[in-house]
Amino acid sequence: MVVPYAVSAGAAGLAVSYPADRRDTSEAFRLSDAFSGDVSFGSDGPLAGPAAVAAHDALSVTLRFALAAPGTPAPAPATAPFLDAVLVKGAPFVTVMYSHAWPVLTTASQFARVTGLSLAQEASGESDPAPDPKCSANAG
Amino acid sequence: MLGKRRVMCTGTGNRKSAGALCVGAFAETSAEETKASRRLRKTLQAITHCSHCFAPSSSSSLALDLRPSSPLALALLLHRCAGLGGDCCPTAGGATLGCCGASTRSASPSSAHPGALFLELLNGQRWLLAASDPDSLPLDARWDDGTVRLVPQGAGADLGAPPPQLVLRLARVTGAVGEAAASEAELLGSRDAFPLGGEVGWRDAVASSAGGDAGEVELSFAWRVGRLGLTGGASTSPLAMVALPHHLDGLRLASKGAFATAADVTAASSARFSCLKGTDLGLVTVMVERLP
Repeated sequence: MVVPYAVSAGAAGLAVSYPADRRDTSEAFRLSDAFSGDVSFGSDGPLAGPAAVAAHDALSVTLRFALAAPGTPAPAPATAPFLDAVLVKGAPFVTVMYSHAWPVLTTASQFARVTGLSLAQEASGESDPAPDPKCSANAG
Repeated sequence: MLGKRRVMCTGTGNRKSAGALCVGAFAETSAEETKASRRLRKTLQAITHCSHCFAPSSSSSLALDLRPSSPLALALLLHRCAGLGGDCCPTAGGATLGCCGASTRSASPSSAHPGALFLELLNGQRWLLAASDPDSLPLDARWDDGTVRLVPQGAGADLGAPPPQLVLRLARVTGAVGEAAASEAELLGSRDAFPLGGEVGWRDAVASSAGGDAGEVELSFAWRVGRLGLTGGASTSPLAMVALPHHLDGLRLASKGAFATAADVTAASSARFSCLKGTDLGLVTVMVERLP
């Protein structure tokens, strides 16, 4: 736990959960928040191995996920792709630093919207998808 | 009075993981849920042949916001295949089709908040995703059913060489409708500075402060801070951290210049998070805690 979030290092990267969304209060004297990987940080390529602790101190742990580099020959160590998850208790954000890798985030639930909305819900950069001609539902 | 309703999950593909989580879980529905909402929910489930997993955003809010104007209802009714996948694609007559294929859309972060995206999920969650240095590396977000990719603005299939470093920050936007906007504003305003680690220091409160009592020490949290490299107002924001419940008895607020009460922290911040330790009371920028 890195309150208020919970995280898990998995085969695809770092899974982030806001477990309070699944709070079980059905028992009078028991409270539980279930973990679910709501949003996961990964990249296009597979991981090169399990996550490792890259740094730690009294208030933080940094988990490093080494990524398998595409193509051959292998890149020089200075350009090897990886992502570092800086886990700090009490941080309102989970912070992940990508090095030489493009981010891919996956969610357990599907998207309703992805927007760059302003606070006034203006200036949405969302664009509607082109209709899929194979889908007859789009014609209705 | 809150009721309990078991949520059945019948998904395929990547929805299996959500379904597995949903088995045995409960979504809370409120007694205030109207008959119209119940009818709409049943209609939608009949049309889509799919019950998604909806986690309540808070214990007192509706788990399913299926009012006709809600983003969820619009996503289901208007976007059709865009928000659904696999066997969930409906026809106008109510029959299900095969998979319509993933529909990929793109969005650019707005100029008002460069580098900030909001991910709204069908389970009702809303997340803020902030990226570093949007001026020198403007990004597009491309997404399909459950995957979002950040790519260079205007890039084709070949994305080119990735940057040496790209920092992403993710936060859950909490709060019911009406409260979430203030929480969102606070998170946006504090997204630039992030903690890289830190140390706990202490000093004798009596020796350092005329107001200190014998036997008290002050703990201070000395953070190493990184920045996303934003420009404008957010670029000068101090590091904001969540005030955990056990901090509240002796937390010094920068805005007050003195030790805080829970009411002080509540008044100073709109952001709210919840954890097993209790409800976290907002964001604070100075972490000095007095212990007896």
